[in-house]
Amino acid sequence: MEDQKLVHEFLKSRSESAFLELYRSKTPHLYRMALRLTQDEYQSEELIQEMWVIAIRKLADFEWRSELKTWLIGILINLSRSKRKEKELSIEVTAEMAQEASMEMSFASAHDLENGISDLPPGYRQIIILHDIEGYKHKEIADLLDITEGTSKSQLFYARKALREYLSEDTSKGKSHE
Amino acid sequence: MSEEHLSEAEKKLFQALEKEKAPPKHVEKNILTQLEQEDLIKKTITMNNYVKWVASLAASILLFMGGMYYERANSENLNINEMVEIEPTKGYMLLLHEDANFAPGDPMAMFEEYKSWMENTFSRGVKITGQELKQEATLIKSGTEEVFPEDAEKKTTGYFLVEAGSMEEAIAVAKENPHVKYGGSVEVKPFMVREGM
Repeated sequence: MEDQKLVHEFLKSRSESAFLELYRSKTPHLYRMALRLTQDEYQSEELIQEMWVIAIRKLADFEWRSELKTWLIGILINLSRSKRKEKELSIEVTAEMAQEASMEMSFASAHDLENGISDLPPGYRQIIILHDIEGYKHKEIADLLDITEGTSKSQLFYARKALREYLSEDTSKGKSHE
Repeated sequence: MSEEHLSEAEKKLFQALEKEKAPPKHVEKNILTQLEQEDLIKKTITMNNYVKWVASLAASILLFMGGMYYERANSENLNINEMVEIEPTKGYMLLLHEDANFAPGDPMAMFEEYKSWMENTFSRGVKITGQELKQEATLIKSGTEEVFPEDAEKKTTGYFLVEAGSMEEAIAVAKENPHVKYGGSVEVKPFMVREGM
């Protein structure tokens, strides 16, 4: 069932069954994302729990300016950030940066990549998840995180650089053992 | 390559990452509890839940009838008393009795029969709940402190509560109960609701 219909059904009845349909259609994706963000099962469960309670409180006011999934991700990310209280990076992308990240992840496996992502600082991890895994544009990420597009770009730059370094080290370690 | 773009190999790598993972079941339960506490959702009985619940109840009935535990149905661990509330003015108790004539059949077949009976009852709009009873009883009699074992001639092995429109409807439900087929008896008793109490 499409999102608008699921939400409409829920708001009409407020029934447990209508909520569960909504919950089960969205949660597996969000939980996977929460696991990547927090790298911790317990924290991820807490995030998902709090996210849904906030979402249901506000659902009647949701105006469909974005997809439901994006709105939920926004709540999830904000909860995650408020828990983490991490200082936001605000480095603008410069031309010189372009030359720094030249290594490739080509030789890594999905498993290596997952490990690499988990090794990133939380802010970088967040951007990689939103941009490279979820496919959001910098404008959308900026809206979601309440940052500028420039900040989103610069964070992605550093995140990819760190990830490539990690994977490159990992690959060369693997080769040296051969 | 530029940091602005992922290479094709990198894109494939990202695409290969797991996209979904179902959270543990207790997360769902915790959320439902919190939403119910805040009055943000109303508890409902879904057919899906009900089917699981009747399976659980059917299994518990068999537990004391056939003396066999049917693990499959208890896996959901549902609290049957939380599932259904009976409106007292429409309430009827169906007491299951058995004596020496009671001859339970194949547990699997009985399980399916009880399950179907409860599902059919629910489907026709008659709410139904029940409770497992242990295979032990103590009889307290006036004027003595002696404890007697349960009367072997008429053991009460379980009960159902139904919310029916009339005594006739409650009797119709009771007649279809598989307990009778296996030699047991079902006693139908309407709730007594006193005005102003």
